Amino acid sequence: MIESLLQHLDTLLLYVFAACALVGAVLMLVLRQPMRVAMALISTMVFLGGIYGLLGVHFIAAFQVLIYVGAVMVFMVYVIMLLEIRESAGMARYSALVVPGVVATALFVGALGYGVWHGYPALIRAAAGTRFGIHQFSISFLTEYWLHFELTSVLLVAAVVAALAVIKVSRRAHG
Amino acid sequence: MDKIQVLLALSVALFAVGLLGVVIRRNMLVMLMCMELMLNGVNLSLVTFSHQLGSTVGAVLVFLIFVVATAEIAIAIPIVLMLVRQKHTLDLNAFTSLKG
Amino acid sequence: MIQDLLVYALYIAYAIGVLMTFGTVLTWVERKQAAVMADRIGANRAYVRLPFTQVKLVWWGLFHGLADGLKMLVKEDFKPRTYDWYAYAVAPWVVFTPVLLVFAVVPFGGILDPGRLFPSLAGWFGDRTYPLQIARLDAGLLIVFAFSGITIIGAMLAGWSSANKFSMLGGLRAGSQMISYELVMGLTVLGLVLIYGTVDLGVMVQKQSGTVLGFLPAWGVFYQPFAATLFLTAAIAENKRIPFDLPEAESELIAGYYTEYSAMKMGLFMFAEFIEIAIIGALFTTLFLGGYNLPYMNDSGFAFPGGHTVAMSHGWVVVTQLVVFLVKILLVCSFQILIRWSLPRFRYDQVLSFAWKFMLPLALANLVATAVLVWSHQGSVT
Repeated sequence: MIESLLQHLDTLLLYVFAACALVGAVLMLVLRQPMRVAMALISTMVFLGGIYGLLGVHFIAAFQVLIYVGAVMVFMVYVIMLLEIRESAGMARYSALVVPGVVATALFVGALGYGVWHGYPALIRAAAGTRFGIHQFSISFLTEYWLHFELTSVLLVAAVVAALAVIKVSRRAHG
Repeated sequence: MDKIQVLLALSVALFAVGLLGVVIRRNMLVMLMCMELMLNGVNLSLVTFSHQLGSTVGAVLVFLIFVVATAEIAIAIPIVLMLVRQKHTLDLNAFTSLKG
Repeated sequence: MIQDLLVYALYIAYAIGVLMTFGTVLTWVERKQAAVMADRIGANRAYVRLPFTQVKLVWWGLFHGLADGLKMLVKEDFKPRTYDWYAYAVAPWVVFTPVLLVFAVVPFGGILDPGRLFPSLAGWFGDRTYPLQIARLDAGLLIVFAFSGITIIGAMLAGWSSANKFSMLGGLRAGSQMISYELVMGLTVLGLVLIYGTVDLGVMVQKQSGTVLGFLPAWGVFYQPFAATLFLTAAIAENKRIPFDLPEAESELIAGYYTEYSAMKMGLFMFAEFIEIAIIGALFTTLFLGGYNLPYMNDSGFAFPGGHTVAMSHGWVVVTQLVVFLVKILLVCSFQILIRWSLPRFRYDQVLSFAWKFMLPLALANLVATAVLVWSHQGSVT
């Protein structure tokens, strides 16, 4: 019994992580306080990192946790702490577009889900590839996709300049 | 029910939930977080296809999306901060001065 | 399959045992080392009385750790009025768990061959070998930094969810400081990654078992001495130890971000800090001090620079590697305790400007110099 559990352990864990990620995502819609929404998003991201690890791309899982949880969500939590605006009792959670939003999303999920479920045999024709590690990833990143790499560094410089400009504008506006 | 099918369905679900969150929620920070969720859904589908085909294209694109998402958040949050400084609320319906 | 499960369960038990023991023993080492440095005796009041006798065992103050643990377990766990009871309850675990998880990618020994070690089990194990590392991942160093990033969220949640302005200040300070120094830590080890050509910690330790310049062991500290000091400084700052402990400064913020915590929850924060001292020791040992090997030692014995080799049996090699790893961690930890009891505390703006205006440029300069050196040697320095 333990042998069969061990053999299918990665598939079982994949289903568990997928279910937990979906639960975390749905909680984001329902929770009232922004800090709890942030915690739900962090848990979804960590479960997604677990899924990436199960698929064999450990470095992408490490980057997911390092960049998303360790930088993006820390910034988000920091800003929620600074603004410290808790949803007051009278403030509604949802905008006026709740009902059309839910209906449209259900149609959207239905259409795409049907495509994924029933169009899938067409995808299986692609050959099962080999697992690649960080070595092959680094080689292909810096030889085949070097232009994208350089353009991304330009984007980051633009982001730094924009952040500095925002600080300067806000300092000038408020002394 | 294959592994790839489940992951692609999860990616669709995450993207749809994120989109619904951006449309439904009124708090600006929660809307930003739902946009991050949409990006995560797309990342999952890219990693799934990269795993299935065994090529590194998907992983490279995922890495670039990480960087772009970080840069986007680094600009979006100061914009939110400046808006909050004007109206002292995070409610989206308070910013209607461009409405016809 | 079952064999793998058994061996890895044994590894996990070893890791948790070592880390918990280090967390407890380090409190005693800190007290005694501080006492020796300050020419006093240290805490020696807690005793255990043997039942039915009047014999009181003091054992140089070792029972103070036991007393601390018992105190934290039985104290009243009051629930203050908080902004968010869920974040308040979850924050200590978010700080404590990733610190334990970092040890999963650290190699604490070479190769374990159970068939050779226990000939009676050779039939069951066959000729499987297991590297003495819980998770042999090709992105080990990235996982270390990923898990260190999760603790930042815990510290900030703890500071925010206690409805206390001082805790909030402590949480903000902790968040800023930890983010800045984690960035610096990542940049300092990039030079080492350039030289060894891998981020896999097991491969890094194996590459440190040769010699450089003919007679020095090929340890990271000889390839990158400047990066070693920068890494140790940034790691001590990340752990919020003195001289960087503004988020928990007693004279300013009562206790910083864990002011409103008592009993076991505060115990988790303190325990996480002490286990992280051991984790910093483990990381520094793996990256810069040659890991689990003695100088000139590899998985099959010694290989001295003159060409002389000494072969050792597999059992002796495994035991030596385990013991050497623990001794090296203890040495780095006592060095950190030495720093703690020697230096005064930085002011908070000094802490941040030290990170961004002093250490970050130095780490980048180190990286550029290393890149030029590696390029001039046509890409292979080791």
